[in-house]
Order: sequence, then structure tokens, then C-alpha cells
Amino acid sequence: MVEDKAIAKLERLLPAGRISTHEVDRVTYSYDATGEKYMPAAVVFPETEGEVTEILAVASEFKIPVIPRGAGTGLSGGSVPVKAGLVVSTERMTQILDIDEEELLAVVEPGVVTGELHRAVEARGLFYPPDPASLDFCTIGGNIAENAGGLRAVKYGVTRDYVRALRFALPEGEVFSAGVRTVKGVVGYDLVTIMVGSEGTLGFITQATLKLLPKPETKITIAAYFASYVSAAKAVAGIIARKILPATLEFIDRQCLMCVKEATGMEFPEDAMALLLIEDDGFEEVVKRSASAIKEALASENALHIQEAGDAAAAEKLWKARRVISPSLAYIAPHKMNEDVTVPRKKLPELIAAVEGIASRYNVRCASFGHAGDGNIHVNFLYDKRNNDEVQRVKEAVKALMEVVVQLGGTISGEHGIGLAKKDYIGIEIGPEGIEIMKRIKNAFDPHGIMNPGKIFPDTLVG
Amino acid sequence: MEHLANAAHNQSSVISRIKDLVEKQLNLCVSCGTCRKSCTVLPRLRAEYATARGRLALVDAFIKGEISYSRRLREAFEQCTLCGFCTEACPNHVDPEGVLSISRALVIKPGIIEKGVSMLLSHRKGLNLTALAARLALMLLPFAEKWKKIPSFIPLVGGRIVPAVKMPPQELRQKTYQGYNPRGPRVLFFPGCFVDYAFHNQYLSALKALAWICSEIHTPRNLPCCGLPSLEMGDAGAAHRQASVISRTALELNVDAVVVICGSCGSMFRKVYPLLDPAFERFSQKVKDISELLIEHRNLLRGREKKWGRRIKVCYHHCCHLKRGMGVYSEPEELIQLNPEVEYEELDFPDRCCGFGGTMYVKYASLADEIVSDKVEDIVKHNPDYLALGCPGCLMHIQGALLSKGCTTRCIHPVELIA
Ligand SMILES: Cc1cc2nc3c(=O)[nH]c(=O)nc-3n(C[C@H](O)[C@H](O)[C@H](O)COP(=O)(O)OP(=O)(O)OC[C@H]3O[C@@H](n4cnc5c(N)ncnc54)[C@H](O)[C@@H]3O)c2cc1C
Ligand code: SF4
Ligand code: SF4
Repeated sequence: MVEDKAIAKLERLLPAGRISTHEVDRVTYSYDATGEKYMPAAVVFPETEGEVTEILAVASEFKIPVIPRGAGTGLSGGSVPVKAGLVVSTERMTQILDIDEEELLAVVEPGVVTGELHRAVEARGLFYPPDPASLDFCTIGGNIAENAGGLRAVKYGVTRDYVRALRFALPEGEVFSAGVRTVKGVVGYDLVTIMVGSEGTLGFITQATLKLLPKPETKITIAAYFASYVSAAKAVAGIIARKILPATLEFIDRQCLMCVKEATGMEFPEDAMALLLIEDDGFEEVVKRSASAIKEALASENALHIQEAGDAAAAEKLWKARRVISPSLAYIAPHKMNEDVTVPRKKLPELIAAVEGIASRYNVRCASFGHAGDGNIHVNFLYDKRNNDEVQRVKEAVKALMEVVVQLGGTISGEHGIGLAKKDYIGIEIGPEGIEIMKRIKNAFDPHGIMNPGKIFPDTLVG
Repeated sequence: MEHLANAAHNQSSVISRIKDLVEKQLNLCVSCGTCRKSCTVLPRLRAEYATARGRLALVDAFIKGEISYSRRLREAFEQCTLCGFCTEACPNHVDPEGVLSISRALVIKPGIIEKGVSMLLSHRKGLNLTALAARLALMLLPFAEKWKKIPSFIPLVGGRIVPAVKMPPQELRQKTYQGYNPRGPRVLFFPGCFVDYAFHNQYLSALKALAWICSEIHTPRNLPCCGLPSLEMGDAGAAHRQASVISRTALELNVDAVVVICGSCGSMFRKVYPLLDPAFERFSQKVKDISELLIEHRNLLRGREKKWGRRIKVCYHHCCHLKRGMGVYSEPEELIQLNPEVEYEELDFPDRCCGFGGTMYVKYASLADEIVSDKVEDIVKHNPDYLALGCPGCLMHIQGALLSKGCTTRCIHPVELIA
């Protein structure tokens, strides 16, 4: 088989211990956080950019798939080897190469864990804002490839807003350096932006130069409970109307609160249908003023209960609740379709009403939470894989949701990417023309189609 | 013959129970990867097989018949310190550490050596024999009186500094001791192999402290090992037999509590026994770490604390099995601070795993040493007179590493600071 030949060649080229075909490794690199499983032919652990280019050159020669992989925490199946081939892990490329305090930049290898970068820069009074809930265990490479968002996106934006320059290896084995270290730069096409969010389908990121900010002096955390989803959504609008843009503005529905209660034993008010978790940061004086404006907005929408975290530990407790939601939904049903749809902020009440409608129309269980501040709500349809009828209803519900979201002027994926999970729906948003242009770009980078095949584009359209 | 048939039956029913339990837990795992965040071995091994999620996927594939026994599979399980950080991290009520420890019975086929060792650990005579052999071997080695350096040509453990093994002196061989508190609890004290055959100071201090608060202290001399090493080597049947003897003895004596001085025996008793067999639940509920019992009766310790005649600086290391396995973390720290001569200082990372992990220490010495070097660095930074810790396995590993580095800090059990 060609794969065996490619593997044999790599075994010769690479230092010992870089490639494994043992079933122990093939099983453990067959999945990501979606739970989809496909076994790769081999797993490769490059330690340098040079090794990455060698791997890509051999894969091109034999035309076998290369699947870049960070920590495998993706929620759209991005690092799942659907077409087998080589899973190439960045777990051994974990150096923070430079933190430049004058230029406010960090230069890192792709396998650096996001939370570790946070700690390293914060120790120097600096700040890397993107903070996906998975930050303690996902990688910068994965964040860039998925354009990961995070809780602080409302005020600070997403990963794309912090990537200044990238080095990446292309399938033919050449290395490209895109972007600049400076704030400004307009030389030709913006290849950095094309690489961000490319889900490992264009090239293999080997180094990233990231923008940093000064670390905010202090922060406040406020929790507010509401008796209805709509009043919570209106409170969000109310905060923005007061010209306050908090760092974080999270929405959590009743189903999610129940799961958090199961998982952590935390207690919530009986009649709460929704919780808003709000955080703002900055200079002490500024934060105080925004806190009082926020509380005013919450009170005017009849919040049941407003609570300000007295200290860091109290705030951490609230955030822990937020972080455990996604996995703890398993208390309702073993499987979930986790949709990260996003609509313009002012359409949130409409989205939430539409989700309720869809859930009852298709008779499916549903729990929602997420980044209300930027219109990105994680709608989870919960089901049991063994129940075929339910699976079918969930699929229809997802499609209906996608259609509503696009009608509301939103997007079908705010931060998790398309991967495997949403490739059948991509046409709803970008149409056949959009798919066609993207495929041309893909061809220019990856003429043999070896980079992470089977992702993003619907099967019927992929030749 | 009948005996053998019974053993085989017992083995297969233990295995099927373990399988059921593991399958239930596997259903709860959503493969989110949260357990990657604080795994002790992942930063060193840097591959998914070294994470709880990866190992769970392996057990799953193994149960479904998709993969079979192999050296790599075995290593994947042995290269885990059972530190429990994954269980602490999991947002989903999966107990990966528990699953990984009992799954060894499924994915590891014990070889002839493991079977032999398990057999020795299952009987008192076997334990005595093992200790005697170790004593003779170690007697040949020079070094300090209490610690011996194993020559580097010995496979696996060469270069290690280990405690001198000794048979317990006469004063420690009684089956019962009377306490001074007639209204106090009647307890069974289980010293565990290390304390029985090497750390006699811990044994003496424990008996002394227990005598202040108990009416009777039972120390039956016929008990086997707690069963953890057998389980780690994949011999669940042996572990179950050891558990049966210990729990039967404790229940027959009808004691109020079973007191341990080793966090690993303790978490085996408290957490793992009920996983092996729900019938051990009643026994498990009686188990207490010595620090828990002493702190419950702290008023009886006041004024009796050991006099050192000087101020001593003490740091505390949270052993994984004591903290995350048994859920005991505040009592040992309180106990240490009961002694007014103690100047207590917290380590920077007091609960970071030392890398001992039983099989890990024996079979993957360089990995265990890499992990302990972070611990040593933290200790050296604080440079206490004593490092207190509640598990003799970790004590051996950390003390060995400190001695190799020429550090003067000595490792002791918290109870040695008091009695
Ligand atoms: C509990 C939980 C909470 C989460 N919360 C959030 C959240 O708040 N916001 C959010 O945006 N996401 C969230 N996620 C999703 C996930 O963590 C992110 O998508 C993250 O960016 C994935 O990083 P990873 O290192 O795990 O990448 P992987 O899952 O390994 O890979 C993701 C994609 O990136 C590609 N890739 C990885 N490394 C490279 C590279 N060096 N070069 C090219 N391509 C590469 C892969 O091929 C794949 O397509 C969450 C996930 C979980 C399990
Ligand atoms: S064991 Fe828990 S934390 Fe780890 S992958 Fe499974 S559900 Fe997630
Ligand atoms: S017990 Fe410790 S070493 Fe083993 S998988 Fe869990 S966190 Fe990692």
C-alpha cells in the first residue's frame, strides 16, 4: 500500500521515535471532542519545522492525507482522520520562543497550550485575550486553525484579531512566512487571515507571532438571574444601549443550570430560567462605573437576583460553573449536537424564541448557553445515538436552526469551525459560489488535496 | 484442586464486575479532553496515550475486541502515577483514575513474575520472606544505616536510594495494645508493608499517639498486603483475596475504625475495595487516615506533643492517594501545626505528584525521576528541616531523590512530629 511506503520512507528520514503505527497510538489519535472515530494509518510527532516539511513532502509524494492535530479538543471533528492517513501532532512543538515586552508580541510554536501562554505573558504584566473555555488544554495551533473565540470576545475579539504573523508549511514541503511584526502592513494578499480558521486544510502552522495587550488592572464579575429567557436577552441589549461593552457577557439557560448543579453541587435560585454572567476589566475607576451601569441595566429588566463576586475566589466559582456546562450536558442525554450559531446581538431574543419553537416542533431536547455579548449562542440538541428516530429529528432540527440563523443575518459557526460536523450545512450560508471560490483557494495551496481531506466542503461537491 | 477452582471462579467474577463498572464509566466520558489539563505524565510523555482520555479509549477498544494485549498497551497503563488529577479535572463525574487503576486487571496479563510477587504479598509468611530476602540483599550494601544505595548494575532499580529493610522489633510484634483512654475507640491499626518492614519510627509514633486517644489498638500479625501492588500488576484476583482477608479480620474484631498511616493503603481500602466488590463497602466506611482520627480527638493531644527543644521548619507534601484518593488534606496540615515548635511553611506546589506510582518507580525509573526533580526543586527552594508526608512510598521516592542531591531535608510522617 502507498501508505506503508510513505511510512517506511518517513521512518528512514525522521529521527527515531517520531512515527508510530502501533494500535495504541492509532486508537488514541482517532477522535477529538466530538467523539467521532476514524483510525489513522500512523501518528507522527515532529519536533521541528524542518521535520514538518519533511512529513508534508513525503505525504505529497505518495498523496496520502495529513491531518494536523493540536490537543484534539475541537468540537467540529477537525482533527479526526476521516480518510485515514497521517495524524501529525504538535504535542512536541511546545516552546514559547519569545515574549517581546517592547513590541507587545509573543512568538510561539503551535503546540503551546493556550493557558500556559496566558500565564507566561501575565507574569510580565501582559495579556493575551482569546480565552476559549478549553484554554487549559487546547493549543494555540488549534485556536488559530479554528479561529477560536472565547468568553472575552465581546470586548477583545477572537483569535484572528491577535495573529500578526504565521509560519506554515505547505503540502509540497515549502515553508511560508506570512504577515508582519508591525501593527501595520499591506503587502499583497492577507495570507494570515486566510490561514486563520482554515482548519488544517491549507497548510501546517509551525510558528505564530501573536499580539499582546497590557494586562488590565482589575476586574469585576456580576451574576444575574432572570425569570425568562427574553428578559435576559433584553438585559444584554440594555447594557450595550448604555454604551458599556463588558469583557464578557455569558448567557446560561435553565437546562444548563440544572446540569451544572448535578456536576458541581452548586445551588441556583428555584425560579431562575436564565443566568447572565458578566465581567468587565480595566482601570479601577472605569470598572466601578461600568459595574454600576451594568447593575442598573440588569435591574431595569427585573433581574430576580444580582450578585457581585466579592473576590477572585468567588468569581472563579462562578466561572467554573460556566466551564463545566459543555461536558456536563451529558446528564440530560449521552449525545449532543453542539451548534455554535451566531446572530447580530439585537436578534438574540428572536433567536432564543426560534430555538424554543424548533425544539417543540421537532420534539427534541435542547439546552443553550454561550456568549450572548457577541450573539454567539451554543445551542445543544441532546439525544441518544441508539434512538434512530430521535437522531433523525435532531438532524432536522439542526437544519431548521441553520436556516433561521442565516435568515436572521447570522452565521452557522461562530467559533468551532465546520470540520465534519457542519459540512452538510455550509451551502446554506455561503451558497455554491462561496464553496467554489473557497475550493479554488484550497487548490492553490494544496493541489493534491492531501491537507485534512473530507472536511469543510460537503461530500457531494468534493471531487 | 478445589482451592484452585475457587480462585479461578473468584478471578472471573471479579473481572466481570470490573468490566461492568468500567463500561458504565466509559459511557459517561464525552472525550472532551479536560483531563489533559493537569495530568502528571502528559508533559513528559507528550502523547495522547498518556492521558486519561487516551487510556479510557484504549480500554474501550480493548473491551470491544478492537485491540489486543501488547507491551505498549501495558506500558500505557503502567506509565500513569494514579495521581487522580484527571478525576479532579473531569467535569463529568467520570473517575478516570479509578477506572485506570481497576482496568489494569483487564488490559494487563500478569506474567509469571507478577503472579509470584502477588502470591508473596497475599500471605503473611510470603511478606516476611520477601522482607527477609530484601534485608539480606540490602545488608551487603554500604551507605547510611537507614538508607541504602542500590548498585547501578542492578536492572530497573539500580542507582536508587532505598530504606534499609528490617524485621519489626519485638515491641512492634504484639497483636494488641491497651490505650490510655478507656472511653476511646477500639481500632485496628494497619501499618502497611513499608512501615511494618522499614519505617519503624512511624510505627512507634503512631502507636504512641493512638494510645492517647484509643481504648484498644489491634495489630493482627497475620494480614497480607493491602492489594494495591497486585492490582497494579494486573492481578485483580489476588487483590480481591487480600481484600477479603483484611476486611473479614476487621469486621470480626468489630473495631470502631481501621486506621492507616499510608495514603496508598488508605485509598485502596476506602476507594478501590468497593470498586472491586460492593461487599467491601462496610469495611471501607470504617477506614481512617491516622491524621483524621487524631484531629477528631485533638484535645487529647494538647500538651503531649513531642518536645524537639528547638524550632523546626516543616513543609508538607500532599500525597496523591491521601489527598485525591482518600480526600484527606486539611487534617495532616493541622496535625503538624499542633506542635508549637513547628514553623510551618507551604511549598509552592504542595500537591504536585512526586512520580512514585508504584510500578512507575520500579519499571520507569527515569520517568519517575524526571517527575520527582520538580518536587525536589520546590523543597530545596524552601529548605525545611523536615518534609512531612503521609505515604511511605512517596517518602522513599522523595527522600531518595533528596539524598542523591545531597539535601539535608529529612522526610517524616506528620505523626512523627507529634508523638
Ligand atoms: C470543554 C470545551 C470547551 C470549549 N470551549 C470553546 C470556546 O469557548 N471557544 C472556542 O472557540 N472553542 C471552544 N472549544 C473547542 C476547541 O477547544 C477549540 O476549537 C480549540 O481551538 C481546538 O484546539 P486543539 O488544540 O484541541 O485543536 P484540535 O482539535 O487538535 O484541532 C482543531 C483543528 O485545528 C487544526 N490544527 C491543529 N493544529 C494545527 C496546526 N499546527 N496547523 C494547522 N492546523 C492545525 C486541526 O487539523 C483541526 O482541524 C471547546 C472545546 C471543549 C472540549
Ligand atoms: S474522562 Fe472526563 S475530562 Fe476526560 S475526556 Fe472523559 S469526560 Fe472529559
Ligand atoms: S492518574 Fe494522574 S498520571 Fe494517570 S492519567 Fe490521571 S492525571 Fe494522568
